[in-house]
Amino acid sequence: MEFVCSRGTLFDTLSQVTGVVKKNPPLPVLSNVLVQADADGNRLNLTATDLEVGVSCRLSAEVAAGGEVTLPARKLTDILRELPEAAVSVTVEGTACALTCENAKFNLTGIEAAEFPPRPEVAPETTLPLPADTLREMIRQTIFAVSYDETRYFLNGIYISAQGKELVFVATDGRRLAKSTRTLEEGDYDFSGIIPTKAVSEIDKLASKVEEVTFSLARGHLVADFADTVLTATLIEGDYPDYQKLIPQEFPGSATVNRGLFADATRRIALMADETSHRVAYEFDGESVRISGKSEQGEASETLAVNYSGDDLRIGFNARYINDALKATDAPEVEFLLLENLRPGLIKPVDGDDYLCLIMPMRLDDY
Amino acid sequence: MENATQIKVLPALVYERIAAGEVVERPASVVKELIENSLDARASRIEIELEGGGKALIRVSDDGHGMGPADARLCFTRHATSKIDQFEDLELIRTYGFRGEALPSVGAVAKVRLVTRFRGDEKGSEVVYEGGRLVRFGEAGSPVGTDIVVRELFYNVPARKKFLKSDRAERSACVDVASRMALANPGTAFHLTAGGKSRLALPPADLYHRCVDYFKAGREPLALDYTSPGLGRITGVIWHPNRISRANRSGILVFVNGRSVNDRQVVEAVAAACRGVGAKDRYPQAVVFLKLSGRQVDVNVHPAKSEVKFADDAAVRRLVMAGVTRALSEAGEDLIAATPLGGGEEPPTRSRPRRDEEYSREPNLRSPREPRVVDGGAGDGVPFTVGRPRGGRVSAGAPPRPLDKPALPDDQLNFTPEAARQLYEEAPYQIQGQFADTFILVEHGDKLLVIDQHAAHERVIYEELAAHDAERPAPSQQLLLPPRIKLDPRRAARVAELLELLSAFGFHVESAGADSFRVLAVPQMVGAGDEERVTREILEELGDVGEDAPLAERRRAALVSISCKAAVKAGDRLNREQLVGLIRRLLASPNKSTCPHGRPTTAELTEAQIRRWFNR
Repeated sequence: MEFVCSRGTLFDTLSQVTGVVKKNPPLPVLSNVLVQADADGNRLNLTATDLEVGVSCRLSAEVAAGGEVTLPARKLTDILRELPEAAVSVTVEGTACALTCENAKFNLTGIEAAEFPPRPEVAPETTLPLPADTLREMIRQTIFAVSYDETRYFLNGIYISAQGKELVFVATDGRRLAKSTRTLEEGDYDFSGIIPTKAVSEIDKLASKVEEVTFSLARGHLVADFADTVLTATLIEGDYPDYQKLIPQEFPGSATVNRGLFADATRRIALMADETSHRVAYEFDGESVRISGKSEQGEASETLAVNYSGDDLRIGFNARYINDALKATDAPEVEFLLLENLRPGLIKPVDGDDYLCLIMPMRLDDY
Repeated sequence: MENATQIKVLPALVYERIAAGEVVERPASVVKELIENSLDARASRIEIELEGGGKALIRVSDDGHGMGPADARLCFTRHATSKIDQFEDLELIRTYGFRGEALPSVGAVAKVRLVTRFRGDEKGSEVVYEGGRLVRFGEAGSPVGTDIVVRELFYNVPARKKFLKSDRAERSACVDVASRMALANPGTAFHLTAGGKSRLALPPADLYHRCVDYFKAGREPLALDYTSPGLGRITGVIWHPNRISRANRSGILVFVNGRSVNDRQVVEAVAAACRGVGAKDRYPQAVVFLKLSGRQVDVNVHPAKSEVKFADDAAVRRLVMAGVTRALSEAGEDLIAATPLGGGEEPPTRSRPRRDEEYSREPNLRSPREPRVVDGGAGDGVPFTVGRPRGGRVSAGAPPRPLDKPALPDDQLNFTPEAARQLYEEAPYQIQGQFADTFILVEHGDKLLVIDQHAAHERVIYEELAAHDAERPAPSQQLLLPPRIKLDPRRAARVAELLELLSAFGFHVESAGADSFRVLAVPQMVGAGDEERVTREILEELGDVGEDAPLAERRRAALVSISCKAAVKAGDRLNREQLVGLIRRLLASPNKSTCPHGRPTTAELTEAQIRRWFNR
């Protein structure tokens, strides 16, 4: 195998794929990036995987002789970072790789390409094109609520469902639930799956560089296509909780608050909240909400003017959950919907149903 | 009239045989009675010989004070006991064979030959009894002491003989009885041979070594010693559950006032005190001696005397739990010390004399490490010492170490709770990182602190939750997907009574029918998604707490259990923020030097020690 390409292109492309490489992978070859050179098309293909998520990226190069090998991903990245901006030529014989750039020469030992896990064969059953910014916004509106606990592994990802023209992302850790909804311009879809959190973050990163992303879904797999880059993820098997049942239909209490002011006040008061629970109390009455926090170190309170309708209510929340929910939207005004002090509260933009976050309260028995 | 005499007075012999069965059930009961007699005679050495599992022959000889001819003759007569003159004396029973039933009973159902000589007498006596009849009485040559041979047990009571088990089973019962008595009387040498094979060979020792010898357990047990004024004292040994544990409770032997008893409550109290230490579902190995004032205990419940009745069960339970807990908590230091960082044979010890040693000269019951003489429990029996065998660490409060002890090596990992307490008073602390995903390394002045993350977190949670009660429950997060937990019916019934207690600590659990529970809310420290596991483990553990345990004990059990289950585990990778948070909370926590089970949270290495490793 022999090829020449620009240092910059090679480095950037490599950075796209190496995000999935783990520090101490179970197989040595998973520390490596698979380099495939295609002499006919003058193209290189770089692939990295951690077995659950794989990323593959194409780039142009002058390929003198085709072939394939795997090379240590981190070492290669480090080398390319330090090289001057010039043409890099690479020659590989067996697993011995010689890399030269101007007067610098590196010899690297790789692992045979045959040891690299093959990409899963995915026959797409559904194809869904999405504007990259829409996809990224939906990820931002949900990813903060995913669970990292492996006991309920099926919560370790974002549930994605497309029914008819409605696309929904949902994440929950059992204490709050975030849901992002969009109506697609066309199509009549019927699929759902749970995308592991790691794949979601990689998708988010890769989507920042493109205009459009195409999701292809097949049994057990998701393929996300970003022009020259393809991400393949194994979907989490398992039944996602019936989230629709968890979201109350009626909320007797409703407060309209300025998102920024509400978030700022919550953050301030949380400074005096209990350090482990971050518990803050909200007391709603006709025209105001009193936010208060206390701990052994002292207490704090602040009153904000709000437009509240419903019975007076005193309810506790983890301040972090409130702030996470508020950060996930850009709407200037949000609605805080309430039921009772031990039942969930819901935050959503005043105008629009594309986003909501359901938050379970904290008990205030001792407050 | 044919049926004139329906009721007869039983002939004496028949009566004797019936009564004998009450005391003498099997060879082991004979062995027990005879050893008790030897101990009452203050023997320093007891030899036991068995043939045919004791069915063919039981021989017990001792070097006790023996009997004069008159006593030797009388001792086979029922209720001839030299031990009680008046009924009131029963309250002050301190000897074993007080009922005066032993020898007559044995004599009634076997062929017995007794040879004895009273200390000071010139000649000994020989008495032969067969089936309750005196066959021979006369002078005989004998060393001081008593030698009794019991042959053909139940030869005249075929009904009972039929119910004896195999030689092997009877033999093992005999050995068991002798073993228990040997444990209770470490000052007396015990030798037991069965079929010519030695089964027990225990030289005189202190209690501590008797237990080590008996269990042949090389790992040194912890000494128990705790006194509750007005109630009594617990002594004995316990192996730290982290070192030796058993799958069941059979390794817990209990003695009350020197007598081996089968008391479930005491055994349960020992197990309960160890819960949370060592592996789940494992039980400690321990020998527990309770010395209670005669008024606290009724030993006359059953002639076989393996049962006792306590005047105040709960008080005895508290005494046992306190004693065991204390021993385990003091062991914390030793567990670290047991794996010294430096090489060398010398047991780890502190490098410099501690301030508190200098003024605490009064006897200190909290520190059982130094050998001390305690009453053996068997009345005026042989005193034995409880203590650590070799060198051992001087713990705070113990008398100062004599100057002629070997030099104190400096290159060992040091830890004492006091030391840690002082350390924490000074700032600053620099977190250096996590080691083996289990320990947090903190630089502090010229010391490197090694902090066990699980123990530290346990302590933090414990102290934070301990401040809460029903009036002021801990902050609690409602759950969107309340997990359901099913328990076995026994545990479920007990847990159902504890739900209110749990809610004070932030666990809001409700019954959901058929031994099931629904977890509505948990304290925030329980990780999202971890609610089911943590709550299940806590409920299971609480399901094992005795139903008659007092509220304070249940509360403590709940606190300990919650702290343990909710704390980070060894092997959990912590990020910087978590490390800082944990150390900061630990520093703010009272009792920060130990976890709620009593294990240490912190050990320290000084720069000087580390330098020495490198000969700098």
